[in-house]
Amino acid sequence: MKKIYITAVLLIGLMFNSNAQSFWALNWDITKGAGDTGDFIGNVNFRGVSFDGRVFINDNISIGGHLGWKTMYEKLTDLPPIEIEEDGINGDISGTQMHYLNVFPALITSYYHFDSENVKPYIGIGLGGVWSEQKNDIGLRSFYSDSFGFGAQPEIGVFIPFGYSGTGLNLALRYLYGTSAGDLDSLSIFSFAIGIGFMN
Amino acid sequence: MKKTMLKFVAVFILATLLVSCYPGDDVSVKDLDTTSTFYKKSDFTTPPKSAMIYWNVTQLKGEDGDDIDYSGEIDAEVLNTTLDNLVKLYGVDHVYIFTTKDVVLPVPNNSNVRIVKRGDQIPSVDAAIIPSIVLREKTSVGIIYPPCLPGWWYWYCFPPVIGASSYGVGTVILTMDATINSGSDPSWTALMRGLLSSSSSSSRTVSRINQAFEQSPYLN
Repeated sequence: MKKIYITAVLLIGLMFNSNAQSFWALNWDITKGAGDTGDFIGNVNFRGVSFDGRVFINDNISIGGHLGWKTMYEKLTDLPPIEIEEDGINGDISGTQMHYLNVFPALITSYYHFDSENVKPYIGIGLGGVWSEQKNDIGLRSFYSDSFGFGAQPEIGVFIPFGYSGTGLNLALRYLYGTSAGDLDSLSIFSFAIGIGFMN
Repeated sequence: MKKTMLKFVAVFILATLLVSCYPGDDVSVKDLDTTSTFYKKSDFTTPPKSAMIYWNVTQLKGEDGDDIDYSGEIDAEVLNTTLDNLVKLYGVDHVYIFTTKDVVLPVPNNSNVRIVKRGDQIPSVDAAIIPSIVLREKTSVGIIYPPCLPGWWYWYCFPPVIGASSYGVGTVILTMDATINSGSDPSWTALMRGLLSSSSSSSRTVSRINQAFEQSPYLN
């Protein structure tokens, strides 16, 4: 774990100080859960942000980092009661359930950027850690759990420069998978990122 | 360097916006209504076959003066909804109403259910249902002063906000216990939380009581 942080810090430091070609993007992430995540929160959520930084090690390949924060929420009114058992007493609680999921991926990424004149498509993958916290509120009771697991995020995207400037529109489609850890099931989230990119 | 700073500022602004629109702050009171049922599995290995309902909603009070006075506003809904569910479970011939009063009020919806009064011979039934209500005013409202932050040339203080840590709430309680003549030993408690003194509280109470029976299939 410590090694991952040191590597990430060194990589970020390298990116800020490097004179090599680099790419930065600040994105608004629109998310949709799939699998177990989709069972918990199935709707499309519009509260997400991510930050990408990459340095090119040759004309086509870049390495970098990805930090994100996806906030997902759904209010569910027709779920079956939550079963509880304590000291030999069984119970069921029903009511409106508010499901929350916060996901924070911190990934080391690598991309292949295709040669192109105007738009610049790319494909890549990020590997690292994903911290997530899940909350289920029912009435004034709250069931909370969090976990930190391994994460992988394949991605395809395109950078569309505004004219001849280094600034442009960044669009990306991502799939984040996080391994099951602690009390939480594995994470499975599709996201569509729209952002501003800077390439120099 | 300037560009780097700009990137950090942009991240900070976006993160701040994300936090400020965090969902869940607009939860309506209705969304906090819950139905909780508790039982011991071993008590229902032999489920009851008959039941008697005590035809009165007793208000349970604390000693701290935080109770809201209750004048039977939803007695009819509580009693008749419970009666309807009992009839559905055990059949009209196996459900009884017990009252200590000469006049049975509120009037039962189901006129086929036998009424047992004090002094009558008590039929042999497996379970007794006691309805009660708790109405508590526990609202704690206070003014919260956020910390002041240094501005460019003065200390800027955000305006104070009103915060409420809890709110007045009522809970209908149904308790099922074994009777002296009971062949089984049922013990079941249902708590329908979320009854407030509003016009919609009656329908909410009815739907919550129905839910309590629906989520307790072991009762028969």
